[in-house]
Amino acid sequence: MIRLLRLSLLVLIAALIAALIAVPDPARAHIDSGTHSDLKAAFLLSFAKFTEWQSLAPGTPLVMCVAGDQRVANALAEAVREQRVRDRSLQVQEVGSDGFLEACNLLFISTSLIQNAGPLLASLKRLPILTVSDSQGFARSSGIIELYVEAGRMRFAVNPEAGSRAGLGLSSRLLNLARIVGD
Amino acid sequence: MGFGSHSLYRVVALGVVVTVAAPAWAAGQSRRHLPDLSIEELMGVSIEQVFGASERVQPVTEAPASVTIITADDISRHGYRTLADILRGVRGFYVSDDRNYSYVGVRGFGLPGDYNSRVLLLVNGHKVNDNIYDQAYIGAELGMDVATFDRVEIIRGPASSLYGTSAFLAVVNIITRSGGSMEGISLQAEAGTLGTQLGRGLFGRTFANGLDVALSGTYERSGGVERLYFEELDTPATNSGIADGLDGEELGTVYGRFRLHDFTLTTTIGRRLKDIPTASYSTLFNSQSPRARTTDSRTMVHGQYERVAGRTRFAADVSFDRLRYEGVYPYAGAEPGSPPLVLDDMSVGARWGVAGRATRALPGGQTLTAGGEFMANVTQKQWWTYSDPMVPGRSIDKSSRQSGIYVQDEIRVRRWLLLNAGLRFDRYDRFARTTPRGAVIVVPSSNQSFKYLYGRAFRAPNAYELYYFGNPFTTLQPESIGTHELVWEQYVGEWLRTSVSGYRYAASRLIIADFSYGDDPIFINSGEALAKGLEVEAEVRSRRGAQVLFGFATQRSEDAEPWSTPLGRWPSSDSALPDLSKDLSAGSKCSTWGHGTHLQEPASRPPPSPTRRSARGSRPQSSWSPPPAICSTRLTPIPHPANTPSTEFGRTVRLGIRWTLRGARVMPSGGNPPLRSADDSHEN
Repeated sequence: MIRLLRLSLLVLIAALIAALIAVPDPARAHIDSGTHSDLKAAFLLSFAKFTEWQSLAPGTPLVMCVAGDQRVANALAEAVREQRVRDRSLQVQEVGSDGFLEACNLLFISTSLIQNAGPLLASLKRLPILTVSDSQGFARSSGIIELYVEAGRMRFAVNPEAGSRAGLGLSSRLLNLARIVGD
Repeated sequence: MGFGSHSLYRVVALGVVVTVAAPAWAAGQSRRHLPDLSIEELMGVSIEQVFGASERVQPVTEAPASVTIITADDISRHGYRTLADILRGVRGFYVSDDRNYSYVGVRGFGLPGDYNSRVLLLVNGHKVNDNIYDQAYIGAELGMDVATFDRVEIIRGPASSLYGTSAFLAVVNIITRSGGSMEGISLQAEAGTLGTQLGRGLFGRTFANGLDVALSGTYERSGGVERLYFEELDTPATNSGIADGLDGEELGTVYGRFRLHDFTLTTTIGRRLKDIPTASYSTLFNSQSPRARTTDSRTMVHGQYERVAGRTRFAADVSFDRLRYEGVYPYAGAEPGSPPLVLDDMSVGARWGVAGRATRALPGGQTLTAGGEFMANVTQKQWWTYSDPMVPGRSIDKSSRQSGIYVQDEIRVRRWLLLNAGLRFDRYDRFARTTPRGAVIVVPSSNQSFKYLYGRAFRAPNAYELYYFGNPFTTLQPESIGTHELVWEQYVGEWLRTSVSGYRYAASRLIIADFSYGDDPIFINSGEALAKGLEVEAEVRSRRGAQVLFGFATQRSEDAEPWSTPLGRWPSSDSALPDLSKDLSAGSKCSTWGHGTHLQEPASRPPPSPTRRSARGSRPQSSWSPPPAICSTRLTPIPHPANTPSTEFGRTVRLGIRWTLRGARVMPSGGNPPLRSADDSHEN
């Protein structure tokens, strides 16, 4: 009985390994559960869809910048392929914290960069740049949108005052889904 | 259970079909890409990440352990009411309940007399096993409301290299909710069968200055089963074996969490009263005045300061934990007609702790974590008195200290290859221990991983084992375990998750109770045990939230020493999943214990046997002057969770109303506090 059981278990394991090799990975590159880069990139794209850059001429491309997280930058470049937001084409740029950020319309800053980026972010506050980060307290302190994880789901907090200071129009659909924070 | 080899093969075959065919079928399905999803759908994408496996947030696929995450959504959907309910549905966990406390066994290990001391329970990363029994409270006695849980991380395998003692078989980490997640005020009232009534208030808010506050209070009362029948005690003298209205329970909890910038303060206070209908430990059956009853009061205060500076994340913790237990046990008086002799058994454990750790990313794809902790067990007091002043009680007042330092490194050798190694050194008053852990993790794609895990762990003898019976031996040493495990996990999109896990656990010098020295047991290092097993699990979730869980587990456990019984046989998982788990234990020999039920399949779930029950470690008989009445009725005095089949309450129904006042914004679904429901419930 035990021997038969062992045999069946071996068969089971062999079958699983065979299946693993034979079956293509359907969800490959869809969800990077590592840093959830793909999910963050998808959220960034959604944020762009629900934001109005009033100072930006119609038809000009939207520049989406990523600072300090190559995985998110790669995922975003993949996500915006063949996508348009209100007649605008989308460009993705990976930037350093000392880069030329004024050209960005949307800026994602990783937690690792945020510590030293305070003065820089302060200088960006009145520019029409939608700033997003996954750093805790970002929406309250210096930015507009903060991504966070709660109960196993990605959520976001929005600081509407910071958004209007930057001259950005944030849609009510976005605000309804967000946790609203003030300065 | 009636599983013949044919049905076994059917189960194995079904396992193969589900775990292999489902991903293959999935491959043929066209899937929508994440960028095509609406923002509402993106907010529904589940994220599998874990903190407790490495003391930092990391994806489940890269954690050096086999991990299961239960979220607030899951708790709400299944109507879980206690942590025990949650664990009951988890692969490899076996929960039983003796109508007083709940006990958990992991992967075939469930020692008789073990108060969950081999499972480490954390709340936000802080240890809450008490310092008398090392007990992980998992039932209502935990003193926390599941409505305050954000998620629960279940991390299988030893983790002493990170946490020290008790992280022997598994670590369970409860992450509690923040104020922002329960924005507003919510009042709830429920009533249900078994005379259950519940009132709950929740408040959460993030203020303009950044202060985040979460508060909750819960009061719950249940009459339990009105008339419990015990076949063994069906005599006219013992009320025909019926315990009348003795299954009641009362629970009050308070939870508060305050966060300001980098500082978080979490506090939980809970008090649980439970009547014991089972005449545990040979108490008077169906005694109405006084009733056999336990009261457990717990307090936890945990402050944490966390800061990121450059590439380093620092955390510093200060904590205080207190447990007060009181058990009232009525015994027959010395003569017929005389008032009962009442034992009052008590303990108080209090502990201060400080801890600190730092995590830093280093060149070469390394993530280094180092930390240390110090605990002062300022009070470890156990005492008991009798209602008759002629019968002496006893008081044992102790205190102790423990400290540990640890280091752990994760090296990302390649994009797809991770190496993980950890080492911890623990110092106690009477001994020191060093425990290692290692892992090789292959992540061929972002949604699947293979893991080889090696770990060692120890469990230090607790104050109860060391002192309660006046152990004449001072040589009691920690028990230890060595484990090897192979894990394969795969996530197919959002809706299918499969995992296969094979393991070998070898425990040695297990602390067991030995009765060969007299009537009272003496705890000695003696037991050895070996468990091998294979677990297969597939979970399918539909977009609308329906969920099917298929689980299959086979396991073989044996004791190396014929006369001890380190391995009890646990009832198979009584879980929310269709219970196809089958335990193939070769069995252990347990002549000393004299409980043949160790080896029985708990197929027909016999009614609880009062004489085998035990409450807490109440030992009325003491070697110096035992009251005669007690001696004459004494039975096996050791609490014996291993052969207590889980008691079932059948189908219960609850109705509840909820009044919620929120801020101006609507929370996405899932952020709502779960309205608990038993099998069937309606929200009015």
